[in-house]
Amino acid sequence: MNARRMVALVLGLGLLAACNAEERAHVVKLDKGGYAGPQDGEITDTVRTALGLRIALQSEGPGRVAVVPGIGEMPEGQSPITGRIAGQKF
Amino acid sequence: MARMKFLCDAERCIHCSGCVTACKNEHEVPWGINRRRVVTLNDGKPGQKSLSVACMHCSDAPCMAVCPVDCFYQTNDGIVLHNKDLCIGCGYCFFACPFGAPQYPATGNFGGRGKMDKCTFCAGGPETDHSKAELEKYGRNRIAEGKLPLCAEMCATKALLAGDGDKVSTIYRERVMARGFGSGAAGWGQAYGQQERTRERKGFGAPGKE
Amino acid sequence: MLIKKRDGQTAQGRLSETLASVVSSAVDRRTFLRRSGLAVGATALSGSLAAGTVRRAEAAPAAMDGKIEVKKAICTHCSVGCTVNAEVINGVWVGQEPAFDSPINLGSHCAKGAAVREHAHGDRRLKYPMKLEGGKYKRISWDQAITEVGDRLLKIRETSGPDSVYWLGSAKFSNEQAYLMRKFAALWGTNNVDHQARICHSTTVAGVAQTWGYGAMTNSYNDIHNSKAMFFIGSNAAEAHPVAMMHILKAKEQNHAPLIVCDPRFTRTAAHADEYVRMRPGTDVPLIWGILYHIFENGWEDKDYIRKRVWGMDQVRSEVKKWTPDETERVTGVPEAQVRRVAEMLAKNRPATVVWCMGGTQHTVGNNNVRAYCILQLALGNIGVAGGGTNIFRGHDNVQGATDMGLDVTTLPAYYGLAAPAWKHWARVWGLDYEWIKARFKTPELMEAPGIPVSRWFDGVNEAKENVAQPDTIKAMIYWGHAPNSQTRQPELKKAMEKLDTLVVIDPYPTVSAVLHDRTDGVYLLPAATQFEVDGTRTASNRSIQWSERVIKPMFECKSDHEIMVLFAKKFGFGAELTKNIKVENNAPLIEDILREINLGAWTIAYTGQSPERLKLHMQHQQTFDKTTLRAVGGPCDGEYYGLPWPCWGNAAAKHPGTPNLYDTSRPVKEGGLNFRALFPEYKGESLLAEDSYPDGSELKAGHPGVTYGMLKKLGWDVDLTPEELAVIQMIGGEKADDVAWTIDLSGGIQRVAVKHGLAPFGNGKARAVVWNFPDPVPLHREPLYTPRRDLVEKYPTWPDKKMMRLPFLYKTIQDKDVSKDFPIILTSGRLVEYEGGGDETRSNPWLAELQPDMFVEVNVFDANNAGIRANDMVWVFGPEGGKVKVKAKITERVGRGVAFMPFHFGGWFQGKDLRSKYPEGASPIVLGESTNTAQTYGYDAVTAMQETKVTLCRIEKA
Repeated sequence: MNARRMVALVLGLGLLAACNAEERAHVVKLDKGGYAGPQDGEITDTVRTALGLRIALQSEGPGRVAVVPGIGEMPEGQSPITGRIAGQKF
Repeated sequence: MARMKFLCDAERCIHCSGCVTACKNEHEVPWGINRRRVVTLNDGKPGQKSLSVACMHCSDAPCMAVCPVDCFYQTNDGIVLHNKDLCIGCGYCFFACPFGAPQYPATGNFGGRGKMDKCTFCAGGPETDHSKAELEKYGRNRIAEGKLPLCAEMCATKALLAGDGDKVSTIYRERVMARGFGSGAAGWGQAYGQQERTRERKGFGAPGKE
Repeated sequence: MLIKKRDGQTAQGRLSETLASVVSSAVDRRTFLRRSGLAVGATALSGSLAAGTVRRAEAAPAAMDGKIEVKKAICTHCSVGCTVNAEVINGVWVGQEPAFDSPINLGSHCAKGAAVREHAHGDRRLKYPMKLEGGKYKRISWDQAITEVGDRLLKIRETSGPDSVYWLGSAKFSNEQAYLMRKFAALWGTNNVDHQARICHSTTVAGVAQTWGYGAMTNSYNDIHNSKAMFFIGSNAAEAHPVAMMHILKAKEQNHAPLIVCDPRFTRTAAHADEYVRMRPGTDVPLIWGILYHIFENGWEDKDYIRKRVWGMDQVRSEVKKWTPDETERVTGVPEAQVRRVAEMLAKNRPATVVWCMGGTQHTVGNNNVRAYCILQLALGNIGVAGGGTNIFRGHDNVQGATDMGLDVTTLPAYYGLAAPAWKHWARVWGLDYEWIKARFKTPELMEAPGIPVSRWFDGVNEAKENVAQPDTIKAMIYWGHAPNSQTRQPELKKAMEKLDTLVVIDPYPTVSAVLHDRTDGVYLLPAATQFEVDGTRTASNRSIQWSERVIKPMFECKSDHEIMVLFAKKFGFGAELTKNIKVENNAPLIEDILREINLGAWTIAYTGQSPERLKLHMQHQQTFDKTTLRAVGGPCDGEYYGLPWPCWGNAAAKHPGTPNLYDTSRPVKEGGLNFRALFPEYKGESLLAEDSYPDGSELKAGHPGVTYGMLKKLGWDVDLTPEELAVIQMIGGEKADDVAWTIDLSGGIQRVAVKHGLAPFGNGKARAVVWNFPDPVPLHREPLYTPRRDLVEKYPTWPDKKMMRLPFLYKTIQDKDVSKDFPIILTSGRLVEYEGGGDETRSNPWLAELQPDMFVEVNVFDANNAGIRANDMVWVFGPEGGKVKVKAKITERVGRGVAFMPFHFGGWFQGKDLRSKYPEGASPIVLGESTNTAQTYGYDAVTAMQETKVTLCRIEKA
């Protein structure tokens, strides 16, 4: 073993040791934890009720097609392709 | 328990971008950050469909799963929020998100990222409700005021719906019944799971039905 | 998946360069980080902030404790008339909430409506009066501005006559401002006063009014809920009237009403269509006749309806016979089978509504197009029924109102025309001496002669003096709320701007007028308040009049338009006359008083029952109106229609509910019923009065002419007039009191009594399928002036050249020159949802500008490959008259082969040159671009001088 190799080995070991010291303080979490910061306050029931009522405004009123909620299978399938180009003859 | 959801009805969306500017207006979102966007598929061709996209507040949010600093949390109402004080701008959530929701302000010349910003379902953030800090970091907190996200409330054709998932699907179902075909709610299954999608198909899920 | 990541940032390259100077200098990077990117961007974009413009981010914490006032205003963009609920704290506009109570928009907004609060920032507004001196804009005071501009105009009036000053008003005015401006021009002594309607729906107004009475949307957006089919031609509602799509898609969903969209371009509206008809631009009449061909062949027309209510259908029938399926296909390019399918759809799904916009109107044959649409609906019996009608979507938020207020070269307010009786009527309303007004004009002939249309004002400058039928050419131009880049032939317009003595821009933004020309002086920019900064009424497309409340005080040094009018009137020496019946406080005339004066005079369209009190009550109780019928159910407005859509017969005391659907005979006139107007009771000895058709409850079971005092006497109904009403009638009529008609009776008594007996005051006539006083009595197809189909020119030639509206008009001269070899591609233009009009306001709004940062041309894949153009290349689009624009190429199948499309909202570039440095400091819009109108060419409608923007030719080359 020549001197150069010795120096390299010592340096290598030194580096490893340094890393070890560094790593010793680091806790590696294998099972990721959850959020630990501050959180919002729970919204009150009054607010929740208000939100529930307010969504009705996102519909433009009941449709004239009578739909009884919860009854009947939902229609499936894709919409017909809109805007078919029948042809351009100019 | 109510669970907040977004639904964009592609049969109605006309790509007017009202949702985009409503969001900008409400939260003073700066230039270059778009919490909500409209995308059009098959642009200029038959079958063209437009969709408004933002954070869907997924049931099992991939962003939460991948975040190395755990800056995300989900409220009891299913709203996925994050803490900008913890965020390190690593961008993992952007790659995990199926909707491309997370946004980052550019901060330097080397592609460095600022803290992530995304749709809050107009619910602010972890700071005290209506505080100046909340407003500046996350925007307005409409939920605490008993109001739903402005993008959906202002949607030009009422294509975008937001609120209690059961009630959203009731409104949507009424339309689908009238139309006689089922497509439209793109991204819904992706965000809220197969189970929800099945419930939706079968026509269940109305309040008080389960 | 549906993700197109970072879509919103696609076009940032060029834009970020543009913005780099603004943003990077202003943003402190650490601040940006600390605040995690919120509320900073907007600040960064601002140049300077005046007092009172606190940003929301700063104002909001106080907001939570402070008292929030909600102001109900009306969106200032399109004609749908969406209510804007503005939250104001201590005079600062801090928030915008959905206006769920509005029966028109139900809380909804498009990109523009959802971004109107940016007004409260106003970063890029024109902030104070400015004057061009040595090529630079310098700040001056209002006093100096009024004095200098006033002196210059008075000098022109002295040397060249009042007609050498052109007063160009705006569809952005409130009704009150539009009315005051028309009066102002009358007192100045000219009919050279116009606004955007000339280049937007003038052909509709003229053509439709001549067909059946009123030139306006017959039904309402909401009434589309009742439609069983929807036929759109030349309308891209999804971009131009997005909130209307809510009502349209509702009908599609719930009635399974087929949506038929006829457009050369596969628009976002077409994307929702059940039947998309790709037609060659400029072939509307052949397409409609081709559809009618099948309707007549199969006997699908409503024969009973035609017998009772339509005149001249037989003449139409013989013209339609020529449009066989193969000829229709040859000319329009629409497959035969599709035309037949559309005809069947319309026949089997009644009522159908027909919707058109500028794709139909902006043609040399615009007046023919609109009448063809009307005739289609008359043949199907679809006019005057809920769910039917011609739902003409107007453009600007108050273009309907400004048209009604006569901001127009051919008429005084309320379509009275310019003849002596009209002047005498308005002189009575204004309390002025008719002779005095007459003396304000250079000659009595000019007082009754239509002025120069805005579409051609620059020809009034450039033409030789002997070609212009007024004492001198135009020397001064007042651009009062009008973008110049929305007018075709920009190079000519630029030349005219340079030739003028004085150019004045009165606007919230500097507009392209500030920079297009190479002048070094003689230009004044005066900052005007927006409609969010004033009170006033505006008329939505469906004729509903809405009171828009002031949200904030005028920002910076802006003044309201009506105040500026008073200041100029005082300077010109007719201040007292202008506001004789109107209270003026600190130079600002009282809006309510102006409206009362309108109510006193606008009998023709019964703009008379809509008092300020009634309109304000409607806004307060919006939630009580039904969202389909627009009728109030209970509450203080019970039984009235939202916004008292005109005609609202009689005065406010008569309590007429307004007319929701025009010409609907199924209900009494006093409940909003109506019949077609008896504009001409007879023609060549033949009666044009309705047969066996009258509004429900009419005491006359037959057609009748317009009601006069003499007619009331004959019917024995004059006893119903009060002594006061009778006194007014006798005062107006003098010895000829019997001739006093429903239009000039200032007491409103004649209308009140007529309506009481179930009569429509304007008579009960037949609609005219043949308008004998137009160049083509039966609408004919005429090839566009610049057509690629030279083979059709011989069979379908345009008109001979002619003179009207004080100018020569060329048709044949232009068409005869074949340029189709060098310019093979059809060029058309249209709207984008993010911007509006000339776009100066919307392109200055960062929330909108970010979404649409580049001017572009849409080119078909086929044409692009042939020309060697790749996506996003910069290309030159050359027009056949020498104009050219440098724009980005968008390669798409949205346009057909041989067709190119450009949006018309851009400005601030001219033939490849960026003009940003010429704007006053801090007032240039965020996005600049070429105006399509630089390449657009000559061509004007033969009745109204509407400009042709939808068909011309061009050549596209890689830049």
